[in-house]
Amino acid sequence: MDLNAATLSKGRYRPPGSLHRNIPWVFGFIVEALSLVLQAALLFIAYILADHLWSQDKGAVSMTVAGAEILCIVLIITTTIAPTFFTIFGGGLANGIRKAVRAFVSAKSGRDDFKPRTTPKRQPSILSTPDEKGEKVEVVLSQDIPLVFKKQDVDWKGFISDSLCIAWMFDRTFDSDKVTVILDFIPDVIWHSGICNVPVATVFHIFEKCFSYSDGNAALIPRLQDRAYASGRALVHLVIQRKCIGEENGDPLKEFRGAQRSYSWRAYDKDLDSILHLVDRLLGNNQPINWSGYKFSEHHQRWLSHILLYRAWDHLCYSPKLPEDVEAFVTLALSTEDVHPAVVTDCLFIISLVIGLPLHVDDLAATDKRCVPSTIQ
Amino acid sequence: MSLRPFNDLISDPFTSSENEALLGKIYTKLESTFKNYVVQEFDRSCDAMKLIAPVEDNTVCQSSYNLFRAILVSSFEKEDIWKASRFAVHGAYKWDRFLPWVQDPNDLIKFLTHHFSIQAKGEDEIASESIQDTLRALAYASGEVTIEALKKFDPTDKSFVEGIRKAFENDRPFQTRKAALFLLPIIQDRWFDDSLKEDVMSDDQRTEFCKNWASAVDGIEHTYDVKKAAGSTLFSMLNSSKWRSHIAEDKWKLMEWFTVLPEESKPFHACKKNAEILPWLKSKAENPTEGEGKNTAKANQGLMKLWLAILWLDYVTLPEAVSDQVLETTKVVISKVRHDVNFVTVVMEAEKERYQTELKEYPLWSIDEKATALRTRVDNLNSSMEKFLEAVGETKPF
Repeated sequence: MDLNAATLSKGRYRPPGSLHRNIPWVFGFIVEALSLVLQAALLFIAYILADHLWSQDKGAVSMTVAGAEILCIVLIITTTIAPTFFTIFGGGLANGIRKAVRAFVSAKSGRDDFKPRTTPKRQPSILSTPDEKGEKVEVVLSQDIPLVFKKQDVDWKGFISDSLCIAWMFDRTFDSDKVTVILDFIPDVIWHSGICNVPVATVFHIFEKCFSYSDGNAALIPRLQDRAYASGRALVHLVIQRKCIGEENGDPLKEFRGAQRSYSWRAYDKDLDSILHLVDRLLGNNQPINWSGYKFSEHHQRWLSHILLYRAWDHLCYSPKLPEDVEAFVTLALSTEDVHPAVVTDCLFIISLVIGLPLHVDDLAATDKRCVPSTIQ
Repeated sequence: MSLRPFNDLISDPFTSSENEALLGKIYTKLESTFKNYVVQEFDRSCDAMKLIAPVEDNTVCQSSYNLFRAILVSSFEKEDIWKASRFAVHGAYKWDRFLPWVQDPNDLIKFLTHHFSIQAKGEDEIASESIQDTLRALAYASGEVTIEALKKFDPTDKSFVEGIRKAFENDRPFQTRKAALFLLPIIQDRWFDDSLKEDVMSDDQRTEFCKNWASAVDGIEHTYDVKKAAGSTLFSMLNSSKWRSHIAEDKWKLMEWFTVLPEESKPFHACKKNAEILPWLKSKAENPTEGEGKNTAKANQGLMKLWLAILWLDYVTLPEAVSDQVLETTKVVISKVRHDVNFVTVVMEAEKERYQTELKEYPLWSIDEKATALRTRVDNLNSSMEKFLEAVGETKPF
């Protein structure tokens, strides 16, 4: 099974709401029906008991049993059958009930993880203030300036499920293969403010353990190369996006800085090397990155251009210049032949940011939507 | 509604219309910065132009050229204008794949002259790329209107001449030398004009220039266009008494490329009507200059014979002074080596065949201008051949 394709199809390249279409709802219906059958059987037994007691001239007891049975029927109708009916034929009440439950849970826990994001607490930006977060924003490229964003209703449930799934899996999975799969999935998820739930520290520790340390330098343990790539990529992805779309605008790697070790001092694999350089930069070791020395795989380059768009957006919020690494990447990508159009688009978005064209880059839906062909609505 | 398979989805290229629209936004914003003189946006605009310049795309090239023109008329400081226009010109003319037509060469010439002057001041690092881009624009993207406009420009200005001279030097990038090679035919009318009061270069500089030009020709693949450009320049030099003697010895053989020159090639026609050339070549063949070996003298003789054959092609239309020289020289040559008759005849036959092949593209009754000209050429060639055979005492070609 092509796991990557599967995860991508469920995550980044998925049209809104498609997750629900992917869930085998028939199975769910049968499971719900089983409980109904069980309840119906209990009601039937209760009816037989009441009838038997009535025939034994024990009217009072029989009436009590019959009353309890009627009460059960009313409860079953209100809690099970009606939501099921509305799920299938409308969903309004079911959603209402779920929202009520979520509000109740939020009130209890004091958290509101997945609400639409409010205005970020950033320093005044040279760019225009981004649109409200948490709503899917389609970039309408008309000829007018500034760019116009057309808001659309987004079913965030699928994206929320993805991010919750990752956090949940980290808590319960210790198998190294499965952890690698989870790490691989992280860059493919459409993130939102729920990104803060994913434990960056855990990802960093997984990454750290792929190296042995001597003389202040980190040497990759050869058998852990794939894991180092997956965890490094996930780490870079999380840190950069967390800075952009997380509720907190601080430094997610603050506690790990100052280790004075370099991960990129030795060359391994082109894709991995670029990740290690980025990790070093995020950890505060500002070694210049020589992008021209790399020949990336297409998938990696597409991811890289995408994450650097976020890095650019974040950086331009407090500096008039692009970071050197992003600038060098854009220059190289746009000078190279046969670069994927998606990479070119990301680079053009970065250039747009430089000249202050307003762009809603902290909502991945704005860019990821480009991947959805027009045939899919 | 059916969904396409995921693999199809992931390989689906992003629509170019989206990138086109994005580019449109970017360039509109950049142009507005310069048109509206938004000083605080200047640095960021330059950064963006620098980043976008390498994109090889028709929209980028055309928009960059339009932006360049907007920048030149903007109200920014001169130095700022040059800085921004460098990025714009690079965006427009960085490579041969997309070259927007030059609408007004004066803007580019102004830009080129400025960069030649800063190059002369030692700022080669800044000027080099801009010079290459501008030479490429003028040499490859000039339409007829532009060429006419270029002819009105005076290319004999000192700094301009110095700049072009430097562009041919051996240490210049290949693309710069190539572009300069193609630009020369556009400006050569004035450069190799003997009637100019002031020489564009000293004798030493001419020798060096011809040597560098020869090396530039050697360093490039001899495609049809290269032959046309180099051949045209060679005949321009040959037509000038001041330049003729500076042509590199091994480049005389480029005369063989006369067949690729267009009918309306001015320097070629001027050479044929120039009564100084044949005697000069004859003297060169008879009296090889000091330092030249026997082979060179032999090569010079071959050269003179080739020129003689070329002149025989147009014998009936040559001025009397030249046709007399041709007749006299032919008799001398034939008297020494009889089978040179064959050489001249072969050249004439080959040319006749070429004209007839070209003529086959037209109906026999065509009154097309080119067809009519070709028929006249064939008739003239037939008359010339008769004259030649008569002169050498033959009754029919070998």
